[in-house]
Amino acid sequence: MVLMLEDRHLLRRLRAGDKDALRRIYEKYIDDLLRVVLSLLPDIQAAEDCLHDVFVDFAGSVGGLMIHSNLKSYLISCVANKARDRLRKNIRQSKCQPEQLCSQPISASPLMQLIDAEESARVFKALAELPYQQREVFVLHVQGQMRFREIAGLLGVSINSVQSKYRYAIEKLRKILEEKPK
Amino acid sequence: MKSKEIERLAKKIQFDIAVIDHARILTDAEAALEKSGKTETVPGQPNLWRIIMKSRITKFSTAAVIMTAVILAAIHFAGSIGEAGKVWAAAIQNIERVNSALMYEKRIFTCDGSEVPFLNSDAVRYYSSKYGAREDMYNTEGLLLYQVFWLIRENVRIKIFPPMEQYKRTELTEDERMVWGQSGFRAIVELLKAEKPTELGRKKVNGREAEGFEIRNSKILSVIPVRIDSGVARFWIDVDTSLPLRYEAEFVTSDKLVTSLTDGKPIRVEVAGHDLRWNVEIASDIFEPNIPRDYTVLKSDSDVSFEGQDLRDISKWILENVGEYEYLSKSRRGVTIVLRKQFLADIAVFRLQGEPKDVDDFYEKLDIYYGGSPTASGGHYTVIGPQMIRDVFELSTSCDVFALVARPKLKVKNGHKHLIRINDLGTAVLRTVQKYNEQHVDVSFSFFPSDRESADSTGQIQASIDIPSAKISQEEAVLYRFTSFGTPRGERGPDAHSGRIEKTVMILLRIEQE
Repeated sequence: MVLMLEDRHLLRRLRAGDKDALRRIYEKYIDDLLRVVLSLLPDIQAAEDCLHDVFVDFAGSVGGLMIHSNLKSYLISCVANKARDRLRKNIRQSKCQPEQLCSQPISASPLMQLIDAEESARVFKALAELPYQQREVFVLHVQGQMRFREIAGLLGVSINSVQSKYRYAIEKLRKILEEKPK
Repeated sequence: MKSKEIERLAKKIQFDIAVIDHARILTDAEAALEKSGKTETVPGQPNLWRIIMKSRITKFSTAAVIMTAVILAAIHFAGSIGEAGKVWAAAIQNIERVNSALMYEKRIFTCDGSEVPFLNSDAVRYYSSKYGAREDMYNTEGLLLYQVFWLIRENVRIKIFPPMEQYKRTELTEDERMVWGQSGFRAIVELLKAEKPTELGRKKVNGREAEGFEIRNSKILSVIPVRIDSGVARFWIDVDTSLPLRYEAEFVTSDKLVTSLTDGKPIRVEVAGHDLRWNVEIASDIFEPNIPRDYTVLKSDSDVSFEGQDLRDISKWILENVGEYEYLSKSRRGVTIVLRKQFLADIAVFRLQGEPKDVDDFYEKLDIYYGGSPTASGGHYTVIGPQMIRDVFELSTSCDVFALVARPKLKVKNGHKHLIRINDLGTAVLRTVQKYNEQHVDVSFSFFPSDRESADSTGQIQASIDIPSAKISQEEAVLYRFTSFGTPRGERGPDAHSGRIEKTVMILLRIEQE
């Protein structure tokens, strides 16, 4: 997959120093990036710092960047790398409750909305219980919409390993979610 | 709970975007952007492969071959240039044993001190004293633009242009025979005996001690089929292995057809050869061109050159229409549009072709971007909105098997005909726009075999589409889709298996009231 046309234009403008292009990229992808980073690091401050570092690095080095995937995947990969770095450095995180973070998902009816909100909150909590590697693969694939081969490339592991982690993640999530709420 | 349900719920997790301080992030990012001071003076980096292929720029491949010849030859005759003779005696012996080589090359084009990124390319080059040489040239995104084979035994040069699905076969020229027509690299020695390389001394190259040589404005430059104003070549020889580690060459050219891309300003070309490997085993099939059977012959030189004015116009057009649009070449075949009223028609023609495994990505997106059945044959159309129009264009650049063929903006009057070339799927005739007002357009068009271009050839019509009163607003467009099936490349004839290749043409038509 190569760079999307609009993103190509935005990058070109950005390389010419256009701040509006930077803002447009930010607005275009912040929802996706926030979802990924908060699922990886369920801590608001850590997530904000992570996004901060990603965008500062991105803007500061855009002239020399060689982005061969699409821009969204590139930014999500950067977020995943930063999140992993923070964990490796064992930067202290304060877990927050999903209700602090989650807004109402969009559903067809108010009833479904309530049910989905509750269910989504459960999934979010369940995600936090996964081992980080499994969570990372799940989040990148489902929320980051990255393909297994892209994730394998990002993590430097085989596609089989990624798929295996994904299966484990699904199984564990299923087990957690099927337990009756305490 | 099923996996799909878990995924669905996970996708629906929404976070309150106000939980983080966006102003802090953006302010710091903007500051970083300012600090980086990176600017790009060239306004666009469009995909110009068609122009590049059709200009003489590909002839730098020959230039590159000559430069390598310079390196090899210089090593041969280095023994006769005083002090270097002592140093290079071993190199001469080694290079005389060289009968194959593999190297990678990077070419950077600049004009007025600014890079012209869309001309930049990378190349992989193979040499064999037994078979000849081959070069594969890629753009900076890794798309194979061009292959050329110099085959000694067959005495032919074969150029293949994958993006154009064309090839050209010609006899080796006298100069090429001089370089490649004799076994080994000994012919090159004869060619360059008159040269007087300058010693550059020693330096570290890739961490290894290397001896440098330089040749300026060599007579050998006259062999290059692009007019070169000046040229210098440097090469660095590993003093331990006595084999070249790296070469560098710089040319300046004012050749009209090349500089038409830069309003006549001279272009500087920097060539750097790296990862040089000598006496490597190169399989014989590397030197077998294997031209796909459905590639057509590029008939004459006149097919691959433009007048300077044309190129200037193309260049200007591309820079004004930022995006990856290919050059529209006029053809006797194509889409004929008959209109009853004067207006501007914004038309884009897309082409998809590939084997099922190749089009997986495409269909994955198609399900999102296009409402039709992915396996549909015959004609389909859908009315799409502004965002979808943008998405279709993005799709055309994001899928390897889906390419934008042309995007002209036509100012047309009642009864005028315009031709748009469509490759692979024969001739498409957009026959009649029966009526047009602000809200509706009636269209019918038919596809014909590639050797037919007349709507009167009724017996040859393969399919037709009739769309009564597609309702579109000013911002909307109609996306027509036609799919047929063919035989995979290289599998035609009696040995072909039953596999099929899918060929799709899409026409996006947007009408603006004049």
